[in-house]
Amino acid sequence: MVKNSTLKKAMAKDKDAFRTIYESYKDFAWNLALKYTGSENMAEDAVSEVFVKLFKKINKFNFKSSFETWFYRVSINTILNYVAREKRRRTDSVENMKIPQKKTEKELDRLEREEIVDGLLKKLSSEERLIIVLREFEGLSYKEISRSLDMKLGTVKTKIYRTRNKLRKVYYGEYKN
Amino acid sequence: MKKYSKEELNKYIDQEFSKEKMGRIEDHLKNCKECREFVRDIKKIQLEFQETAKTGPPDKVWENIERKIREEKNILKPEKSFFMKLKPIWPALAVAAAIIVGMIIINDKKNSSNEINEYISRQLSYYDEKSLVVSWEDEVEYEDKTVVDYFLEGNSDRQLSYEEVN
Repeated sequence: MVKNSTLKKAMAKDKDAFRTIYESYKDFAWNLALKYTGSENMAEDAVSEVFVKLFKKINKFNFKSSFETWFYRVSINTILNYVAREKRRRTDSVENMKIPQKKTEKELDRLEREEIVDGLLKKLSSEERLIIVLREFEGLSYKEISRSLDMKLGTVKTKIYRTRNKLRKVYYGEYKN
Repeated sequence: MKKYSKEELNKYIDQEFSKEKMGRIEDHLKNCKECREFVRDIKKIQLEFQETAKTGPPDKVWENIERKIREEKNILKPEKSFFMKLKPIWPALAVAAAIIVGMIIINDKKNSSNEINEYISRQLSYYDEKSLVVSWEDEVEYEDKTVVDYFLEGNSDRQLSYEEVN
């Protein structure tokens, strides 16, 4: 959370204040972009777009809701728009290729887990992927997701439950064995 | 045996029920393999997500953001103009300006009122008892004289009015 005084300075285009906001929220934007796009290159560009847009729009924040919820909304919309625009142009196969390097057992476990999660996410629709990342990865409450996506609370819960059920079928169909 | 729906089991996983209902479901899970496996599987998937390392963006992302902001010609923290530097004291300046304008208006009205008073005084001075002169036909000369004085002075031509005689 950032203080109101920092927000007001950022609205006045104070560089240090804006940097503070960036440091507070960069991880959320990065992890969301990374899990949603599945590509580090796309995530870098998407996160840049999020904060450039935030810089331009921050004057429009009216302090009626929490800045966090407002930020979630801006970042989600920006990432979705970015992906929709870039999907048609990019070919992911080359950019996503990771050069194999020697890893420790711990790192291998971590990589394996990441691959499993990425693999599960790819089986979901865009909306399912977004909503499950917000809930299970970013740890947002149902209420926060409802406000960020401008979706009814009941609808959010129903979608989460259905997506979990779907993930279960995929996970135990592809990975259990 | 009663089975719980997948929706109810999801709510159980999210701990959305009362303590009593949570207890009842826990008891049920001890005896129902299907429900127990469902809850176990969902929690396992949640754990996979939660244990996936959260990372942060590389440093070049911030450099990219700074560059793009400059390209948009929105320079961070622009130099304040002299007028903007005075912003903290704008209210005080506004009050001072209002007082000055008010004093000018009041002073102007006071001067106008003095002029008017002087004009009225001049006009009134013409009607002073000792200096007023009026002709016999149009004016009457008021002096401290009695009717007898008039006769003694030879103003017999003047016809005395009844009131003057009496």
